[in-house]
Amino acid sequence: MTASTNCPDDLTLLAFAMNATGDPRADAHIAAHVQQCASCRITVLRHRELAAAARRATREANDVRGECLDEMAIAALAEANATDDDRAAATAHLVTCASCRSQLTELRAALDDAAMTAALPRADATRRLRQTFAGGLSAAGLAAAAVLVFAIGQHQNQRRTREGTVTPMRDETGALVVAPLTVSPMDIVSGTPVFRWSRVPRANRYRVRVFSPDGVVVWDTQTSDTTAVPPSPITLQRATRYLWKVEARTDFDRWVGSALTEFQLSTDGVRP
Amino acid sequence: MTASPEPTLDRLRAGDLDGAWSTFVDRYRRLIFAQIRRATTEPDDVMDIFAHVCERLRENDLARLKRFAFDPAPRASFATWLVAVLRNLIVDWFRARDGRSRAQPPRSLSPLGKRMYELVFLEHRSHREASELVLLANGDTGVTAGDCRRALREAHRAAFIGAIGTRARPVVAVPYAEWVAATADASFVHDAGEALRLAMQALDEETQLVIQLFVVEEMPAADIAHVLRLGSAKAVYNKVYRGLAVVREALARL
Repeated sequence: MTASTNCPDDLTLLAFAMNATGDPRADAHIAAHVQQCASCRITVLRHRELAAAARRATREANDVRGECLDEMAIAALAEANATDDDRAAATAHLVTCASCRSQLTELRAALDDAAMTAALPRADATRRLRQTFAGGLSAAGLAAAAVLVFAIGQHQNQRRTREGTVTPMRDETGALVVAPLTVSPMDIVSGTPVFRWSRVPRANRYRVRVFSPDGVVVWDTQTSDTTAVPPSPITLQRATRYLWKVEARTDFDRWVGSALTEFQLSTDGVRP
Repeated sequence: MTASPEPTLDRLRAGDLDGAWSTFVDRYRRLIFAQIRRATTEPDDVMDIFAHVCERLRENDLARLKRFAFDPAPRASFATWLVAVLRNLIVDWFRARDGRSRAQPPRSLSPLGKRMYELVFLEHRSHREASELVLLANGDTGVTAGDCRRALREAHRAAFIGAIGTRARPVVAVPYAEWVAATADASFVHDAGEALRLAMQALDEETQLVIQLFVVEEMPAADIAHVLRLGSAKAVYNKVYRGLAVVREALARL
């Protein structure tokens, strides 16, 4: 079916046509070829017609086997908590039931949604965050974690203030002085850590310090921004726990600091 | 019964229905709204759906919540189960308002959103294919791949399917004549479609499901690996490739 030896083989074209390469770079490469090659374009188009036919056949199939899955079964599958037997039975049903497949797909998408994760009650959110870290973070997961960490921090800060366990600081005018909240890095970090924290009203300077496990300051910097990136000569060891905190200067020689936050670079992290 | 850290369930088990409901709403109101906003951002609809969801969850003395609370061995976390329940309640609300089947795209969609809805949900095209068709049809009118992705998102919201392909994918501009040449051969398509269906049925159920979730539902490979405990996304790709190889053989015999 292909025109020349330079053309991708049929299977590759089929995978491309069905969005099944799973590799954006390969997709771009094949797309560039297909753009130039009329023969491959025709092949891709035909495969897509077949895929559309397959989708029609799959979605309109009415020979559903077994009873539809209830919400608990769908949730157990989405969380990978189903037993082997339950999963085998569910697979037999899902193959024939577009409605249940759709529910499962939507639930997984909802669980991956940063807005949903951020809306979870605190205990669930923390647990999900831990699970996410255990399973490795995607870009969306990182964004969700950042939002979540910020939300949890705010919540904790409000709660501490409400319960009086932390005495709110006030400046000379009586205005409440809010401590900065660390946003990132936290827990396990892949890639270069970017230090981020919440803005403190009227603060004109922030001081960031990173401590080694034995309490030695390994990096100390000041900035007027709410972000800081360590310079390349600073070398942080992978798989080593570090602590960091940020202090905000709200007046002459008046500083208010965040709590210490722990992080470590993942073993596949990249450091300059 | 295993002690649960979920205070709503603890109160339900203690028979404190009012306290349980109050705790539930306090803890999960944001999650309920977040799930509703995945389906619609129309403020009136959001509030109506929230009222509907609360009404359904409260009926029969919180029967739904009790079902989870008194399940001796729940197989999922309360939050995940709740999201599954919410999805169904929200779909119920839309069906009650708009009817069960939508042969036409919802009127609230933009023209591009309507076209995407038709291509994806009525003609069963893939996301990329739908984008290519829209770009092809719009020629030099300035419609971009980004416009297509936004329209796709809009169409998916209208159809309430959360998993939307927002990942930028390369699209191929195809001359119209070639498109006609490739798609007008209906008998080929029909025969090949039948061959494809038979080839799919010859695969083991797990491979069939992997292909359906990946190709038809467009669920990310990592999610499929998680749900079916296949180890990694790579295992999903392998299964898809093996399945597609069978399909390829079936096509070669035509």
